[in-house]
Parts: sequence; C-alpha cells; structure tokens
Amino acid sequence: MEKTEKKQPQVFVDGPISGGFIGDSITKHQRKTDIGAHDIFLGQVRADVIDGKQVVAIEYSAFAEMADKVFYEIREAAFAKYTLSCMHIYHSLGRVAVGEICLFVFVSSKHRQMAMDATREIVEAIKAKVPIFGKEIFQDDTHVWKENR
Amino acid sequence: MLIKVKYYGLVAEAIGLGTEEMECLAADGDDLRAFFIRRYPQLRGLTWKVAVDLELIDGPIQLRAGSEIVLLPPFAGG
Repeated sequence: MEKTEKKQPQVFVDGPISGGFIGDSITKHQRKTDIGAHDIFLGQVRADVIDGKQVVAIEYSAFAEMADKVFYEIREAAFAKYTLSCMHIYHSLGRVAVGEICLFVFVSSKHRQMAMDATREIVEAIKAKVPIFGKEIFQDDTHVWKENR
Repeated sequence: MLIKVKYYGLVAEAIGLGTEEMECLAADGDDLRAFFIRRYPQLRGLTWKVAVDLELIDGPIQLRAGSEIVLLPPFAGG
C-alpha cells in the first residue's frame, strides 16, 4: 500500500475573508450529519485610534514556513485534546480594511462543549504563537506595528 | 560559519533589510541577541525574539552551516 504524505490544509488567504466564504463553509458542513455543534470565531479589523490617528487597514505579513508549522501544531494539539469532527483555520495576508475579516476559525463536534472549548484555545494559541505581523495603516498612509496583548 | 538571516516587520524596517547571509559564531540565545545588537544598534530598544531553523530559541543552541536565523518582532495574528 502506497504511503502518501498527509497534506496540510492551506491557512493563508490573500486579502480579507468574505462573508460569502464563511457562509459557504457552513453550508458545506451540512452533509456531515454526525456534527451537533459548530463554534466559529471571526477576527475583524477594528478602527483603533492611536495617538489621534485612526486605523483604516491592517497589512498582514508572516514568516510563512514557521507559521505553517505552528498552525499544524495548534491543529494537532486541538485534535488530540478534544473530540472534534472538523476544524478549519483561515488567516488573511496582505491588506485587510477596517470592518473586514482577517481570521476565521471554524470548529465542529458532536456536542457543543468540545467545539466551544477547542475554539477558544485555538484562537488564543494563534494570537500568542503564530509569527504573523500586522502593519496598522492610518488615513495619512503612515503606520505603526500591531502587537497582540 | 555561514548562516542565512531573515528579518520581519518592525525589525526589517529598522534594519532596512529582509534577508542576508553572514558569518556568525554565536553559541547560544544570549550570544545571538548580543551579536545582532552589536551589528545593528537600532535593535537595542526593540522587542524581538530569535528563531533558529523554525524553532524559537531561549538558551544554548547548535548553529550549523546553512542554519536559518530569523528575528521576529511581536506577533499580531488574528
């Protein structure tokens, strides 16, 4: 029997994640009838005011090779700790305007507790551990670098 | 030994480079930090971590020829 390498799902998408894509993802899972609960986290770019200047967009970049590795580790850890049917993580690269979605975490399980607990843990791990960088761009085209807290 | 170095975000902006190759004889995490600050003094006031061959380091590390060192400013995912 041929041993094929498990293909890692693609996490990074160019630009913002659309509502249509999110809706389609939900629709696609309707045929998985062992699922009783989905938990979804959406990260949206906020119009922060920093030193009197308003953010109009965030430009995301990443150390992709290491980010892919860390995303894989986060996924594997969640599948090991929780009984999950499905898990999808998408993160934007490039420019995402205020009001647009930059992170989409979608976790499904038979019963709600697993999905809810796993989603929270996944989101916190992404924010703490993945080498993604964000340039907060102001109306006058100047910028500062975002730092997760 | 010859190593590859990559810079990201605020660090790349401060140095004015995204990548370079250089000779480096540092032996552990603290040595590496000191090495880069000597080379680029503007790094002194900034917050950044060091990854070697895709692993964040914090203490003794083994550099090999062709090792990749990456200076990572604070993360901002999500």
